[in-house]
Amino acid sequence: MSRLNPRVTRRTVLIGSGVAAAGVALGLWRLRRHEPAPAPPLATTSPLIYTGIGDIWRERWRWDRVVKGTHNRTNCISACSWNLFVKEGVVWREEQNAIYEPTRPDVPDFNPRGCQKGACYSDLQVSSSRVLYPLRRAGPRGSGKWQRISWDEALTEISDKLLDIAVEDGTESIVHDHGTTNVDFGPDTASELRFATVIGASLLDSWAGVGDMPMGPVQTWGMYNCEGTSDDWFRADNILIWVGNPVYTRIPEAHFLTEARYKGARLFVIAPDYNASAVHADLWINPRLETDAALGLAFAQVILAEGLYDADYVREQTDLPLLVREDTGRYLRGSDLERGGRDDVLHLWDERRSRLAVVPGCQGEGGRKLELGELRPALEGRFQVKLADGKTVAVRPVFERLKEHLTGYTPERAFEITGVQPAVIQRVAREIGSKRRTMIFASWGACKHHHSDLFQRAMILLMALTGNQGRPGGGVRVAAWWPVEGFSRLAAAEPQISLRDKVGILSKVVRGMTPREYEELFTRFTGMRTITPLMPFLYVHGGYKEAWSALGDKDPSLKRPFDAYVQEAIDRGWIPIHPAPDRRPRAFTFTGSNPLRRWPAPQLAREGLWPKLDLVVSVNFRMSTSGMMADYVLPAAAYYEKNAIKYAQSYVSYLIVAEQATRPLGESKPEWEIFGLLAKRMEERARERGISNVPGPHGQPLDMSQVYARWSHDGEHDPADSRAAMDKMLRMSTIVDGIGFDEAVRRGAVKITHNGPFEPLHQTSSDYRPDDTYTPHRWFVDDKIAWPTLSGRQQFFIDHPWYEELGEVLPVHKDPPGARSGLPLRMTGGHTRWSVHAIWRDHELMLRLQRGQPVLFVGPADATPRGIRDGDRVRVRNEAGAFEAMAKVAPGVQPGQVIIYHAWEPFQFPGWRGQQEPVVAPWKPLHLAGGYGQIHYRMYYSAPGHGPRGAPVELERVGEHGGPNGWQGEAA
Amino acid sequence: MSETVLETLQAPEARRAAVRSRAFALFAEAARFPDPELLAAIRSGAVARALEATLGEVAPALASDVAWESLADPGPASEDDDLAVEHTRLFEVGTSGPPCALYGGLYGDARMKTMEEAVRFYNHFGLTLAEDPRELPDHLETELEFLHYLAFREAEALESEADPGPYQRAQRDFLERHPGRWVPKLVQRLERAKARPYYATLFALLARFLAHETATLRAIAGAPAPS
Repeated sequence: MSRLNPRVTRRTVLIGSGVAAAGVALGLWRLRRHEPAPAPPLATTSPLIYTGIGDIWRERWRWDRVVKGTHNRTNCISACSWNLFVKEGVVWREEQNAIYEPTRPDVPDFNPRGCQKGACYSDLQVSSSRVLYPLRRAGPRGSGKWQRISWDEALTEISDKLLDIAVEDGTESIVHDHGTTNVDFGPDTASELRFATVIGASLLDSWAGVGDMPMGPVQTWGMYNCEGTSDDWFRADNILIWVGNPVYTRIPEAHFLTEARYKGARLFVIAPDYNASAVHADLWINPRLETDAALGLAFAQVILAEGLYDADYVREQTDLPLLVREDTGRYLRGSDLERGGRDDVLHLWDERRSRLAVVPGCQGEGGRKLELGELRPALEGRFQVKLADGKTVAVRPVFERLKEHLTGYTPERAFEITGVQPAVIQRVAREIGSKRRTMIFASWGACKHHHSDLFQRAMILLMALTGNQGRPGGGVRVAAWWPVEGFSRLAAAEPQISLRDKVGILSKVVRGMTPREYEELFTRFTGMRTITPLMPFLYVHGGYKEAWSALGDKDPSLKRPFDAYVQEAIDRGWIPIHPAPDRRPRAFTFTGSNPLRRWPAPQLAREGLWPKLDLVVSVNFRMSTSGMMADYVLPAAAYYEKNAIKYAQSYVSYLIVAEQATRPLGESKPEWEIFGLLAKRMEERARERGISNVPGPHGQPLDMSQVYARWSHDGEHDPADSRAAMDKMLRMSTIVDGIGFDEAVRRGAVKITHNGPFEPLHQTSSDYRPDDTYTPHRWFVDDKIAWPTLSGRQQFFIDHPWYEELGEVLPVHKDPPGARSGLPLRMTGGHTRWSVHAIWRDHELMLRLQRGQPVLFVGPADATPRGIRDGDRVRVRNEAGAFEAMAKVAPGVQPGQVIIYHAWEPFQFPGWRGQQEPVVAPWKPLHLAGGYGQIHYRMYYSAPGHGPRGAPVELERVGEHGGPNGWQGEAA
Repeated sequence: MSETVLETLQAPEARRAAVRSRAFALFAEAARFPDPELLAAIRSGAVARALEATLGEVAPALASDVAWESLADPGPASEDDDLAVEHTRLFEVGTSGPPCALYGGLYGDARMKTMEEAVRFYNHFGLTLAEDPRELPDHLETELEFLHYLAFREAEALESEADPGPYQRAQRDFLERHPGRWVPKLVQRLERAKARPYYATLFALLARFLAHETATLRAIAGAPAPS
């Protein structure tokens, strides 16, 4: 009969025991009996009823619990709370947590929030692409051979290799890329940033590197965060969707566009192709590819020519009244007027008193505010000014120069560039210049072209001329974040502010720091860190120099060789490079980023950077293309398996939090724990090996035997307790009134209660009221705080020597390099409806809703002459590289354009040659410029961006539908 | 883990059920990640012998025409290639997942529904998923372990002259709807992935065993009721 056998401890006993004995052991490893109900003795169990399959389906399925969750480490721009339905340690489904209240009685609410990706993450997190065990590469990189190893082995081996590198070459040779795909505002991102900081690693600044750097706003405003809550869109009367496709990319927010139309708003979509947002437009304007700046400047020309501008706003909020010397073409500065005067004191002409006046709030004036008081700046006129050297020169306001400049962009001349009829340009310009509130939805897509900054400067000019920027339902909108102080403090790892600094800024804090003062402080901190913008890093270390220099040298708008600009920027200290150019990166650790998918022409990095690396470590919940090329893969827990705070986009006035719904699958762990354990093991190994000080950041000694003490803040933080960490983060955060973990996760979506401090990264720029929609930039427009620019205003005239050299002192239209290549087509793209970057890109449920494999959209005008039919396999190529995909013949695509939406994994293409292979994406050396007001690099700010859109290509048919490497699916 | 041992079974039917239960457990064991202990058992021939003896006892035909030597040979072992690497390549890691995932729900159109049904089976028979290791309900090892459990309970019932019907019907239905449905597809994938002989042989044998069990259980318990 039966008995419990306590001696059986290993399953292989099954194999070792003699079968002839006719005995059999019951062994359960994957299953266990229900607890706490005691199992009856087996032999006496009363017979179970099981007559057929219906019996098991009859009983109602009951959830063990319902947990509030979100998709915390997905870099989707939205933040949505979900109810997660849990049973047996599995999240089976999710449902929108529709608890958001309307902010005002006259605007719609945010409900329900969510999209089809979020609604199937429960399926994705149990898909076979999950990585469940620590892996060490067994064959050559990319061979697909992996050895499953224990956490103990993984932590020890990685720690030893990192320590070896730190001892031999210093910690800056360890490069960490947190990318953007995996960022949240919770314990996990904080942990990896803490880790990178405490080991003194070089940190890659990928903000611009992924093409998300709004350089136009940085150049014009000294900042790029410019968004409010999405219900503020409802208050617009005209909405221009311009270089964006919110129906794809803002699924939880897009209903406000529709609701605004119901209310009477007009929707204009400016896009070369008839995209999913354009189908909703009252008017679709389709300029030729990458001529948007010309179109915007033509609108501005009409507005100025027809007097449709808001003169009072222009006088106060813009640099257009500022005086420019006729002889030098530069601002009239304090140093011009008196010996020893300041370069950052600028001037205007006061019409009331007919005399010069210093611009209130300009950088050198030192004032906090830009308000004009009794001053009435002249917008037009020519004035004589006596300089310190006794010379008299003529000066004129920028406004006049702008008007002259815009004569090059009359509707008729713009038609030649853009292909948009003059009558259409006039009609739209008059709409913008009407008294109706006008908003431009521009978003991150407007950063991914070579001259995106010029598009954006033109857009901002329109909103400034018409007084829309800083008005409810008005202005250019890109994005903004609510500042979560707890995150910033935990992620910082080391005290950011020294005692001396604290004393120094105390008085400013008491009276309230201005954005400019925060910006100055932030710039100083940037200099203390070892952070490097991605593009210069790849230029110096990544194997891209030759390709970029060759393309840059063909750019007729560059007056010097491309290399000369880069070298000058490095020599002047405008751009930091870590490790230094004469050192090599030796270790590369990355979390959610997927560099060999995303970087420009990633084959260059595979050949130029990867061989330099002694160690490549990927930390991810899934196997990406880049993970396949790593030496170690550490399995991260999935979103529903972690306590987390979703990054806090300003679209919704709630902080979205998540409670761990289930234990991590396999042996995966939250990043909070992974990086805490790695810090711990590094410290242990350093002590065991007698390693203490090594060359750390900036060559300063760094004690590796204290790594964990620093990560844990002397034991305050426990890698095994992300809940406690998150509780601390929440309690430190003003925006949610210091609510604790338990209450926060009970709600899932916590209403923002206060502004929180201004932070250059996560800034808001208006006072927040829970009972109103949130509009950006009201501090500047309503409260008259100076903008953090040289002029203290929205600045359209930039007299930096490089801007002069490259002809971009005022916004202009420039043909991008792709337009001069000689190739007949240019490839654009966009974020897709079906994935958030590469996550969900290979998920079967999402693939079923498309064509199931990479697809290139091409119009009939380009397809037919090449013999390409819908569904054919085509090759896209240029000198740099090629890939193959299925053609989708789409009449909505402009002739000369082909489109491939974002983020297919290279492994989804034949030969792993992904859509980025032909995209070398030469960048603008202008974006290296520094040493001028708002024009300079600081962390996650103002750096050359990756401009993948508009790559010149040719296209050819290579075969019929499908093919051996296409996604074929498999019959069930 | 919990353990119970059945000894000295008298009823021949009970002994047959116990052997079938052992066979399910053996397959689960032989298919799991090959740690050093399992590798040693494979290399020593213990795995092959145990399977051969057990299947031979279930039905002699099952043990004929099998390349038993493949089940005693984990293949070449080098620093970058051994049976553990092969297990990872085939069953655990790959672009968009490994080529031969061991999750039954991935061989159909309704993953969550498949997993739900598995959990309903487990719960119906008083079982729940173990917390450590954390695996999913449609994993091959979990499914085989459940069949091992049902057959074991069947043996107990037969030995104690209780009604074995519920366990037999449940085995039949679970087999047909779960591993019996997808393991043959897994075998095809292993062929395409050029799996090492150990796994090619093991899973072909498993598919054969599952087909035999399905037929046997249909003979014992009748055809399933329409669902």
